Amino acid sequence: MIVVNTEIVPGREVDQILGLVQGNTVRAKNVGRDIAAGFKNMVGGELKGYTQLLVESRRQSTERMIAQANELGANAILNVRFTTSAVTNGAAELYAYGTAVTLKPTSLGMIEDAAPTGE
Amino acid sequence: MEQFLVLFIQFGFGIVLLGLGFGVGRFTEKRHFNRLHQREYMYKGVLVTSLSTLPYADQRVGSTMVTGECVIATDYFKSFVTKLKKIIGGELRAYLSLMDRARRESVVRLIEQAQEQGFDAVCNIRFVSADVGGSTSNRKGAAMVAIIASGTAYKRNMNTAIDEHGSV
Repeated sequence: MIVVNTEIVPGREVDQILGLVQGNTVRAKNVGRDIAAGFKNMVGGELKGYTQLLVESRRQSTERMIAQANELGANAILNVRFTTSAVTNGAAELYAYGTAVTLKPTSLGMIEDAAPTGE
Repeated sequence: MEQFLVLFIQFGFGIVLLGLGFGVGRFTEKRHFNRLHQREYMYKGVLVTSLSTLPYADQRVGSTMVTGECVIATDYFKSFVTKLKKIIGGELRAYLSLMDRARRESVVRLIEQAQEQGFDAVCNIRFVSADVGGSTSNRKGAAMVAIIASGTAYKRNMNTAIDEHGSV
C-alpha cells in the first residue's frame, strides 16, 4: 500500500478512483503521564509521554484508514490529511483521511518499489 | 518571626518555582535550539518543500508518507509572564519560541524518518496542531504545544543540481 499526501506518485499514474477512506481514533492521556507532565510544566521541555501518545494515535488512525482502503481493493491512498479535534477535556480525536485509488505504472515504469510505509 | 514564616509559605514556594522555571527553562530551551540547529545543518542536503508537485522527482522510485510528532510544554516562568501580559494584551513572545521549537523539532523528526528509509527529499509538508491534553491552558499555567508534521518522501533525480532554496 502506497500512502502519500501528494496527488501524484512518481512513476505511476491513477488507474481508478475508489473514493474517500478515513480512519480515526479518540485517545485519552493517562494519570501517570499526567503527573509527569505536571512536573515538566514547571521547567518546560518536551513531554515525551504525550509525544508517544501522539505517535500511537497517528499510527492507529492511519492503520484504520489503510484497512478501509484494502477492503475497497485499492493499492494506494493519495492526498492524506490529518486533523484533530478536542472531544472532551483530556481526550483528543485524531482523524486521517485520503483518497483510495488503484495505480498503474507509467510508460517510464517502476524499476524498484518504494520503501514500505510505516516504521 | 512567625509572620515571616507564614509569608514565606505563602509566597516562597511560588518564587522558588519561578526561579526554577526561569533558570532550567532557559537552559533547556537554549540547548534544544542548539541541537535543532546542528541537526538542521546535518540534513541540509535534504530538499524540503511545501509543494505538492514533487520537484526533481526520480520517476523510477516511488514515494511514501513520513510524519514527525512533538509535544512541548512551557515552564512556570513563561506562563507567569504570559498571565501578566494577558492583562494588557498584545503579542505573547514567550510562547512564540515554544511554537517554533515544536514545529522545527517535528520537521527534523520527519526528515530523519525519510532518511532512514533512504529518501533524500520531502515535499508537501503540512502541520496540524493536536491538542492532546484537551483544552490546553485551563489547568493552572499548563500550556503545551503538540504538532504533527506530515509530508511525502521521495528520491531526487541525481542529474538535477540542488540549489540553496528549499533545503533546510
